[in-house]
Amino acid sequence: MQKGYNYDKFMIKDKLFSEKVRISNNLKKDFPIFKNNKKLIYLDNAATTQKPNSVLKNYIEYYEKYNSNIHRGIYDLSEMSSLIYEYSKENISNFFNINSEELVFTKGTTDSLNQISRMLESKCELNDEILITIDQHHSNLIPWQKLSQRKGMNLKFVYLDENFEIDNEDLLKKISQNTKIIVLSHVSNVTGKIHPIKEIVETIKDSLKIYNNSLYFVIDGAQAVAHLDVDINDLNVDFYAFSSHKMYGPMGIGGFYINKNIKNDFEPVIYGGDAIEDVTELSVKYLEAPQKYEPGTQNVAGAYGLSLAVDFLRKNRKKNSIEKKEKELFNYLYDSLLEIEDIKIIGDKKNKISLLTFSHKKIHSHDLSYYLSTNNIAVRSGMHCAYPLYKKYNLESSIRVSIGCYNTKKEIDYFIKKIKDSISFFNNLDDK
Amino acid sequence: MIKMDMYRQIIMDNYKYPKNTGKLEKFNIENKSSNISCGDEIEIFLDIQDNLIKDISYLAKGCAMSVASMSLFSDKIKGKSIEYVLNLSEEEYFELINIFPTISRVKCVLLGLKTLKEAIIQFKSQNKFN
Ligand SMILES: Cc1ncc(COP(=O)(O)O)c(C=O)c1O
Repeated sequence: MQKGYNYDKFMIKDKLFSEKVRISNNLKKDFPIFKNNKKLIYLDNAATTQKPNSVLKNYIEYYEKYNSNIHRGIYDLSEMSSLIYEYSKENISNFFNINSEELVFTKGTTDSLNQISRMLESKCELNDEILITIDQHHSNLIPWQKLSQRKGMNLKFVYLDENFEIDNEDLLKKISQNTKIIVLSHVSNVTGKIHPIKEIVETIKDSLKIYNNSLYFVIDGAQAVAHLDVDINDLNVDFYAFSSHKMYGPMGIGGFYINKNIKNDFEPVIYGGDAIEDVTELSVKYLEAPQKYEPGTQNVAGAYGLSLAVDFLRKNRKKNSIEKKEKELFNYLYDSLLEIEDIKIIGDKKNKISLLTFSHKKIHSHDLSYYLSTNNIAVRSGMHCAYPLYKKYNLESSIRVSIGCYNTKKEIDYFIKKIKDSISFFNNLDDK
Repeated sequence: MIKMDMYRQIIMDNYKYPKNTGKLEKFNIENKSSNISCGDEIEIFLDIQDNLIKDISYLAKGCAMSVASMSLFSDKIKGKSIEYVLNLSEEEYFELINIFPTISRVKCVLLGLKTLKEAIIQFKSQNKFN
């Protein structure tokens, strides 16, 4: 929390914005997208989630009532904007059980991971090693490829076991005295597998303790935050990146956690106003993190939108057990798909969020998903920005189904029926 | 609204029973191209004589749209000049094969054209001094 702020004004925040965060058994009603697309069956929540009324309406209301730049003007509106911004940061930090001084706002996961890789550059030397698991989204791979090329480091891949979980033996084999950065995803956007970050971190720290080298753990949390109760503090990592739009918040904002013990150790990647304590003709002194990493005009409406998304999740988890409901739907979906001939699901059922990816032995995923789209079902097909994973395990282009808090059993039934219809549509052509 | 119209019978026929597939016995240029994001792949074999496409065959792996487009296209360009193919715009190509894809499927339909154009460009650069 920004020191010296008087939050009292914001404590009456219920009066600042009109749209309340709702808890409802029929969550679809709280999402205007479904009012405007009555037949839509949205099963592409891993790409982006839809947004509830509280996020949408108050996002606009911010611009209508409070729009002004933060930390600059001494007038009322600017004070209010600063309060909204700082409050949002505090609220989001609480959600992740971290200190608000450890949260840096960015445009999202991609932006975060790119910045982190640049920040770490000055800590890296020739022949240092980056350890990375093969199931990364391209946005958590390319920045590390590039960093290793710039610095002459080794980029070492850790592979997966037959269930697409991290192969611990392989991991242990690959860590070494030169290991500097460990890059993991909390949840894979292809397999949906949840990786045991805390245990992995402990294992690695334990086996490298004799060398006493400084290690940096970087986690891509993009697919975890909407589905798991993520306690970043408990994971014992250095960086954790996420996007707002995948957790019911607006697009264009996200952030990363940076551990307080190292938060001031890096040169910022982006330079500009509002992040500095002093500037002379030839030098600059930065403010303390996180401000040092947040130059330029900040996305205040976005931050508040994300804060509302966090409220939405918190409340509906507690009072509406959305995690449990998603899990039940997922199990039902998994079992139903498994019964269909020639369908292959990537990875077994264990340790997954409500996301799965499958392919049909004979029918291309684009053809299947196109058929589904003609029935108003939105899923994603292709290789899901993870080509190295597909290549390593010879996977086919596949369909990803990802469940969100508003999906229903009826929708899953409809999906299964349409998948079956689609398969017969393409199969029956043979019988002509 | 996305409709299933795109998958007309003729497209499905060309997908299930694509024409001109295989590897030509006699060809003077071959080229392979792919849409990595979908895993679609086409390998083309051309017999070019006097700047005309005398014969064409291909091996295609992919979705119905990419395979059917290639099949229909291969039928239309036998005997045509290589300049004709190089000058074919995307719109003209869609009209030629009578497939008008939705935005998300443009890449699938275009793969055949792309693979063929690349082959011809290769051919031209190899035969510059002949
Ligand atoms: C695992 C993972 N990492 C990173 C990203 C990139 O997120 P964004 O596009 O919000 O920057 C995604 C989004 O698809 C993802 O699934």
